[in-house]
Amino acid sequence: MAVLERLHLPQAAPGQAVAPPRRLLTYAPALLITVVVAVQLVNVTGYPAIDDDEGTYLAQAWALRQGSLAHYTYWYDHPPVGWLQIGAFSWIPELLFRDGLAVAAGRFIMPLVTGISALLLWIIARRLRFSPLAAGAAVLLFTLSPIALTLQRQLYLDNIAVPWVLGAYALALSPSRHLGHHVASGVCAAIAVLTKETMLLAVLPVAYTMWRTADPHTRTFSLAGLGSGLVLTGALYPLYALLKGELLPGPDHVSLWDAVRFQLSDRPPSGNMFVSGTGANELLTAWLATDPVIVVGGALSVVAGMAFSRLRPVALGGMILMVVGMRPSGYLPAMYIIGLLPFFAICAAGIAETLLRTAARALGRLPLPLRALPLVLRLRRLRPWFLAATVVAAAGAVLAVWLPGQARVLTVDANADRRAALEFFRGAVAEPQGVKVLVDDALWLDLRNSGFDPVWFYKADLDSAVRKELPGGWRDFDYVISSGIMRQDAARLPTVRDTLTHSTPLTGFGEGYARIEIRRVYGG
Amino acid sequence: MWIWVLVILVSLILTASAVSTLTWMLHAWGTPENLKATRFSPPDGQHHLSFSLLVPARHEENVLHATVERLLESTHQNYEIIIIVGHDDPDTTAIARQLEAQYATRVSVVVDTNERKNKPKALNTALPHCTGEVVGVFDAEDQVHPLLLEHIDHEFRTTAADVVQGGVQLINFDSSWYSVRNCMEYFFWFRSRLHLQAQKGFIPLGGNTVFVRTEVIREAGGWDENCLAEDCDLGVRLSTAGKKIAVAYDAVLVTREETPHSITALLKQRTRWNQGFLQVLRKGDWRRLPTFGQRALARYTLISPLVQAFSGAVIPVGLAVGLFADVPVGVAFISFLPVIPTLATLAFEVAGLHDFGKQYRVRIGTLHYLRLLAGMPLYNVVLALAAARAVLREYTGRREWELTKHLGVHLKAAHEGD
Repeated sequence: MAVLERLHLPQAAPGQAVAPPRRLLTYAPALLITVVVAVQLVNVTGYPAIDDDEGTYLAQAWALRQGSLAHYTYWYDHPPVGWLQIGAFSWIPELLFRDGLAVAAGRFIMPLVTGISALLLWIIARRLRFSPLAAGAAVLLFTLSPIALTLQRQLYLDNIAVPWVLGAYALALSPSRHLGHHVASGVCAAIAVLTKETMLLAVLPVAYTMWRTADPHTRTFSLAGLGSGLVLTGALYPLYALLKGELLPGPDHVSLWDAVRFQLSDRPPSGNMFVSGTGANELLTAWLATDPVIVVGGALSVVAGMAFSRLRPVALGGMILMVVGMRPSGYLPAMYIIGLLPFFAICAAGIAETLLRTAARALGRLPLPLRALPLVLRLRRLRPWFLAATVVAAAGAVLAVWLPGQARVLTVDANADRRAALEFFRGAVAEPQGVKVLVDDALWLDLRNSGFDPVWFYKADLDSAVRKELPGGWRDFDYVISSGIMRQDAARLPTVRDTLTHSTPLTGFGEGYARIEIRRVYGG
Repeated sequence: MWIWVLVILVSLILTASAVSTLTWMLHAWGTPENLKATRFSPPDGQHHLSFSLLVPARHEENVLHATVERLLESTHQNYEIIIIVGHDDPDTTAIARQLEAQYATRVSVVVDTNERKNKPKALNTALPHCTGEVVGVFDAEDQVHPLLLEHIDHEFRTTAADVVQGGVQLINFDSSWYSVRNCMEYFFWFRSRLHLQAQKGFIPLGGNTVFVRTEVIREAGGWDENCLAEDCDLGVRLSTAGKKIAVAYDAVLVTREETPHSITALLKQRTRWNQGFLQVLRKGDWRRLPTFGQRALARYTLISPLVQAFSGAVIPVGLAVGLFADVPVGVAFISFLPVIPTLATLAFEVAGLHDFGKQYRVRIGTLHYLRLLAGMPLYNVVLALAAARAVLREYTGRREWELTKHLGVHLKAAHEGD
């Protein structure tokens, strides 16, 4: 209860009356984050179904440890900083879980990443003068909503970038206003962007945050520190391309320039989010179905947060991400919402706290005739109970919406078919050496580790170096393991299409898009 | 292969040196508290100490009169001005004598009859004539603020210091392409770096606006007449002797000076300073500093002008190797590392120039920022030349003074600034 009482105390009088005991404040976040990490770990290998991208990042992390930037020609699709970080840790689950799916095992590092993000979110909330209760609520909203539980455990670069984004904000809000913290804030922002480029939008308001926090006498230097940390760290990536001779396009080599152009303009626009039938609308519908609370509540809180001075730095971050994400002309990636979650969570908790505080104050300032009533007097004495009841009721309502989704994440095994397919295939081929298999990246590393010669299906058509090794096209493959994404994209990939048509299924697992088929290629 | 190792090694050393130099130059802005601590504490209006202000003047007939007139505007009650002139310099002597006659109670003239003249000899000639409790040194072209002595008096009393170093600032940032960089060097040195040095207990003092308790300087045997950087040397000896040295800076109270009037003059001045630092290093008084950290700082501070000059010359070579030589990407990457702190330094210099404009109430235009940025490579070449000259002169035994001539540009700038 002591934590709750602080809600209606003006923040200007810290240490007064019922401030929570210091020990509680030290252990509360640690305890909270332990719980969050534990929940995130539950069924981490089972749900959601492994995505091709997860396999790609893990395979690239694996390739880094072998001394190259990617398992195929590195073409500047993303800066390698994201899988550099995955690679720094992915050898641990690889050692511990040798049997199952490599990507599922790799996911074990993700709850730790979420734990770090949660801790940083707590720090940011406290530095924005949130009460411990509100800071705790922000952490829970950020980590335990069904959409967070689903996406945060996936090996996505966005998840790896989030702690760096939050680190940049936390350091910009440093109470000591140390120049070193401000430089570090810029470095964090740069690493966030180098991990996932879209985070550039999320870190733009760090400058505004610092402008507000810094002392007027040292502000110019703080901003110079932020700028040099950001730009000079960020410039390492184009510098790498320059030194490799791959900065500008030319014959016979990939280039950073081409990759940036592809990401910015060559990707098909996802259309208007609010018009049905567009890709963006499909995504929005899926997000809303997973978790209406955080998507709608978070978005509204971000907009409302712009009106409150203390929330404005983070609200601005969420706002920029939202506005750019809603552009009908832009490409909206499925993981885009990961970057929004911390902003949603912190604004929602902050707005809730403000509303409660205002309600509590209003209760104390009832008009005189009403106040004369004995019932109201009693009501005033009941104020803490009223607040507690409101909080509990709100939490209960949210939980009621969340529970089915959470239960699904924590119990359903969506990867059983894939696991069964892998086991079958390993058993079916006794001599894996030299057996060429067309496969998606979700299984690439598993086949590689089992001694097969896997080919990521995109590369069979799009990577000239790989095409050179496949003079016979589909005839050079022995097997193809078809999955939803492969069948979906086969239309624009001739070699993949041919291999699928010139093969016959040995067995299959699952139904529809999720179906995994092991197919023998004719004459293979 | 060996060239890779060399490139990596040199790059890492240069990076470490540039990072430490940058960190130290930013000390004052590290936290708002740091910045506050670099200022003078507000004086209490009481005058307890008496000052002897030494003004050595050699061929300074253009500026001496204005300088002394300005010194005489001081609000402090208890001070004397001692002008030191050479027996072979009739023009300056005439002006000094005229001032002495006009302000008999405040101004006196001491004639230095040494055959070969330099600043430490002039100062030592005047030292026996000092009657004040504190000796202060000013150069003949210095623009001193009337309130300075009052603040220094208060600083001595509140910090119980043996030495107080006040700020010195080149002010004519607008005069030439290099003057803005020169001004920024002073700005970062007096505004920031010196405070850190004082805090660490090893400080090369500046040449003027430096105040020492008379008994302390007499005990130390005055200034070293054979040293080209007698100011730095004095700081080192007093640091070693465990004397308490305080530094205070305030844009209003700072002593205003002018940049050297030509590149040649700048080159000569820098050569003298570098050679002076080298001499202090070779003298080795700093070896008696109590802690290892202080000795390391001393060694580093005294050779850093040379390191800096060396970096300026070598970084471009490293870049060329990284870009054009056939080296692995990793090695090329490392050869670029020193560029990071160098560019960060430029960014902070821009911030510094902005701050300088605000503090001195002068308008900094785009042109000045451009000069600051674009002037860096050429300025570094000058510094590198000066460093090379200094080493050459020191090891061929050429140790005479090359004097900097003063035209009085800053007098105009100062008035515009007021």
